[in-house]
Amino acid sequence: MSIANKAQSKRLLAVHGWSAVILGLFLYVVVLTGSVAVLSHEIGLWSGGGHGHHNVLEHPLHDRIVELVDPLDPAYHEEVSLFQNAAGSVFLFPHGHETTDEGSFVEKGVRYVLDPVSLEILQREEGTRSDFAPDHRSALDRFIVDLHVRLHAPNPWGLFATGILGFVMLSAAISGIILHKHLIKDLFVAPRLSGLLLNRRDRHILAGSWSLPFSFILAFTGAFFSFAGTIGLPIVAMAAFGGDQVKAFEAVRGTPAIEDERPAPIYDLDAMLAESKERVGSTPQFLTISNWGRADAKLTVFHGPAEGKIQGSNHVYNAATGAYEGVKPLFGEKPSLGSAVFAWVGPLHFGNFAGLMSKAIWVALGLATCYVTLTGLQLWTQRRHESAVWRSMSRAIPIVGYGTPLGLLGAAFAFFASYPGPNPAYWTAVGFIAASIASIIMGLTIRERTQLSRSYQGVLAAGLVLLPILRVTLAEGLWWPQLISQGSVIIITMDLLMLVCGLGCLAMVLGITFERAVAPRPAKQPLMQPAE
Amino acid sequence: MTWNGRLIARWVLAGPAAFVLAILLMAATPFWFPKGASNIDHLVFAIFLFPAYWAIPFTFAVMAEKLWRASAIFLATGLISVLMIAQMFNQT
Repeated sequence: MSIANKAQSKRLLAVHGWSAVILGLFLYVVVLTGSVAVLSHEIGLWSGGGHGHHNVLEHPLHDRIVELVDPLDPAYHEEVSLFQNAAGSVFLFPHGHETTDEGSFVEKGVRYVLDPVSLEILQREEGTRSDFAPDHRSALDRFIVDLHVRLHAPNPWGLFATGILGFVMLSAAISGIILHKHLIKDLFVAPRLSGLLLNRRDRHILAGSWSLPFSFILAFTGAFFSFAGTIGLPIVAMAAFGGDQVKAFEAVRGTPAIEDERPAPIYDLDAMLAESKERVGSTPQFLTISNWGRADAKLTVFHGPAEGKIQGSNHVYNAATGAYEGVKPLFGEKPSLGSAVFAWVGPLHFGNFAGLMSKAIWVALGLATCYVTLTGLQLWTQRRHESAVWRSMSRAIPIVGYGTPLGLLGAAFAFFASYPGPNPAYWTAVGFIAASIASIIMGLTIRERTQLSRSYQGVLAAGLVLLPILRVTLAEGLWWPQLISQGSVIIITMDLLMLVCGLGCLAMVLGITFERAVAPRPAKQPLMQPAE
Repeated sequence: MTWNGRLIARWVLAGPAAFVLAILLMAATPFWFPKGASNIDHLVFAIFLFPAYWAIPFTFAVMAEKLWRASAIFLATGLISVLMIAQMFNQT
């Protein structure tokens, strides 16, 4: 039973439909790239070819870090962070916190990119995060994540755009919840076969019903991530801290009650990391050291979820004495409701709370949401088929629907072709744009709809099957026997995933669907004998 | 009010007015929300609740039968939020 009367339902339906018509295709791009970005860690590992297996935080690094950080400007000793991405690159970033003339909060310092094994400097840059060149090894996964997060538009406009798309999705989810008269029944609706439009409508309702709660969660958390830094922090800082964003950031992060500026050397980082690993039972993922070289220096080690746990944890050490000080909440110095709630926002958006299993579910539900977006648009345009404007709009649906995955495929091809050359990040973007343009040309030149879909599916099938081969041949990636000996199951799984998706597309080209495959064959009719 | 006038009024309420109200509600949250054990809950929830601060007035504006009542509620909520924000400014 709907809670809205007829007039309210009509208005909600108008909002539901028109918001999708105006921004649905952009929303589709963001949701599809988000579904792929759920696997960004695995894509980074996979596109890096298996060379990122050496975990820098499990090997001695104390002397090298001290050697690099000690001589720097003391302003950059405010915080030192060390992080290794999925592709294997190690980032050391000693920095200070500043507010720019425009009032934005920035981290300014020196960023080193280090070789994971020798810890030799591969790249050294000074400035704020936005000044740094992208990492070569992780160009592909970064490209996909940036496309999802800010559509590659400059900050803060890209984040505003994705935030507004988050609001559009939120309004679609809320109106969908209110409009559903029989939500439970719709979860089990069998698509009718009496007409194409009815069948599509039933499929839209079926996929939409299952992905409604998921869409709501994704839209809410996604809008939060887009607006938190661009609008949230500046507004809250203005209201509660007179506009001082650094003060607001430090209040949220939590600062030690007692300050001790006396100089003191950093205690053995290797010993503290080893102790932390033994204490938590999982490998550290990244670390930060605040007040480097002072008696009040703190080392915070972040661990991913230990066996049987859903969330990771931060562990704090006195970095001058090596003494363990306890678990630090995400925000503030003591456990609080705000920190506990925020700790769930990331896992709920990224789907990384139960390893690969939850990621697989998030990818599937994300793809279901893409299906709902496209079928919703199809239904809208089919109902208005008499109008030339809506017919043009209906042609854009397969172009964007297939063009976005083809663009991602082009980005992957260009990444492998240019890696380990001087600028794979640039060529990855070029590959995406070139493949997108090719998709648009295909869409405009092939007029017949079924032939167009099959052509797109054929290109996708060939491209996906080729990707694992290109990974090994062009980008110096490791082949399966070497990966098996290393225990790198994820890269093999990713290769298999590409092959399965490619074969799935091939099956669509050949017209083999699951329904046709399982449908009982009609019984053979006895041959008619000519009458004697 | 004519049908077009009502439509425009609803668009203004559900569009720019709901967005501005969401920003005011977020800015005012540190004033009334409990600070919690770690003195951060009022800041974290102000930012965390922003999507809800937009979604509630938006849905309300779309569903409202009497637009004058929705406008009055928007105005009153906005004014109360502005007073809270002014009070915080005075304290800093």
